[in-house]
Amino acid sequence: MKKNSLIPASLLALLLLSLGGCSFSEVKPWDRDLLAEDKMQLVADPIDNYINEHIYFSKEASQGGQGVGGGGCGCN
Amino acid sequence: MQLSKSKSIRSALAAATCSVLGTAQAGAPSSDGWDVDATFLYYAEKDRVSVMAPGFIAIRAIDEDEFVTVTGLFDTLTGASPTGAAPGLGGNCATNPPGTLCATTPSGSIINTKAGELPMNDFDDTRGSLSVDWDTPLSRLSRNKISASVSSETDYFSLGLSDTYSREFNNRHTTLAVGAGLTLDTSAPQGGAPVPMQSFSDTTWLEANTTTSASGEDEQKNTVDLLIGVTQVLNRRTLVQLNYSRAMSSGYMNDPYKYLSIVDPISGQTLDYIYEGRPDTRTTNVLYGKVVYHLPEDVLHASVRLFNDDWGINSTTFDLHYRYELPGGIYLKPHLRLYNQSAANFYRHSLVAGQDVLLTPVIPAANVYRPQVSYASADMRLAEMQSTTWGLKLGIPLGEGKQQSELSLRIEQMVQSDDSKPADAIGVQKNYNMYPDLEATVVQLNYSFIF
Repeated sequence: MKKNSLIPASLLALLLLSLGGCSFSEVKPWDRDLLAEDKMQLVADPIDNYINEHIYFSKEASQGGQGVGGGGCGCN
Repeated sequence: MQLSKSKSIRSALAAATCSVLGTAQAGAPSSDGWDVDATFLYYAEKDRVSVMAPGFIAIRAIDEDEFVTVTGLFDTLTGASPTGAAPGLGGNCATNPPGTLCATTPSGSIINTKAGELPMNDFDDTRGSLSVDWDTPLSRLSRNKISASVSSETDYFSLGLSDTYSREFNNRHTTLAVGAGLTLDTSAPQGGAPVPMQSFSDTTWLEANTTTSASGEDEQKNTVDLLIGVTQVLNRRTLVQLNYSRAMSSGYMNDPYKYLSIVDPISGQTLDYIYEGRPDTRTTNVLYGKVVYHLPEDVLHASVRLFNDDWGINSTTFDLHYRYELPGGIYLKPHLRLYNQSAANFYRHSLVAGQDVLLTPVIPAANVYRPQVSYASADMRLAEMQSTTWGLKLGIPLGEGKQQSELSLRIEQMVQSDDSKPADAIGVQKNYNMYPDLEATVVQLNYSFIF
């Protein structure tokens, strides 16, 4: 099975950006209630993200993107 | 904005570090306790590895806008991992003559395979990892985070140190971050690191031809990471992030337990085995983009990662989480991840006798296979591959106020696949599945609370 997920991924990313989200408007401090929610953080579920990074690091050739450093492993 | 006590630490940390919540700077509350995410992971691959891993992330405010985060994970692994050898007619070293259908590794491991099945190596291991982040304000608009990490397993040890500096601009709508990290890895394989690209039957071609020893000495790898990233508040509901990172590694990159089959050019049958050998440097580049979008109630997280390296690997990762709010603070979070990668330019499912390896007379030993290629690996993680993960998480809030906590359960399925009938399969290999799918199930139970 061969497929290239680059195309659907890119298209979906563009779709997301076009959901009205790509329009810039200044957000005053008192309007940042939604941005302040835990679920709006860039890493909303740190423990899930940590586990996922660990699994994919062990099973794929790619790694990184979200930060620097981190513990290596001789994963089988 | 008044933050609830139960969410104070994480929200305050997010406010301070993600730099998008300008309100929190003035009144970020400090808490007397730790904000803890405790987890138990069960990861199981069909017919291969299973892992049980308790872990935690604990955050504590140690001063106004100053935080310490401690992360720990303890893995217990058991099961079998592909050796890299190609499927064949099979054999048993107890009954078959060595060197044809079965073999014994120099370290003494016996390779037994069943006809047509991917040869596996049974193993058990434990791994403990711990990291500490210290996140502190430098000024009203800038912060610094220092991280130190350590992980240890039976035959591998890793130390990491990193630093990330961030500064806000543009009325706190834009945050620029730069980071650097250093990771020092030590590999101490059981029985010593094998000589790369040495066939099992060749007991004479040792250190004279390689910088890697078979004497049991530890092998080292160093990695330097660099990152530059920008985070932008687009509007009241949208946050975007774009990172570029580059990592440069040098040292021992081999998997000491993996090898390749040397196969007959006509029959495809295994004649001998040869340890894998990889380049001793690697440079990777990653471009990572993320969008977080707040619908009226729900929140969408979508990211794209483009990766390449000088081993010839290119990959694309698309990741989507959608948090669907239900009454009472309960939520469902479906997850979809699509990943594909090209193969490393030295990936081979097997090496062909007479082409990639030649029989060379060695006195007083018999003829042995010597490689005609500099590098080769049959590690399936370096093969062309597509991987799909889908799953669902259920989160349930418990208690109120300072006693508030959350229980969540995540179940996911991951399938890795590739061409099971490659065009370059030889002879008997054409009858077998050369790349069986890897199917893994992830079950993760989380409990978040204030301690």
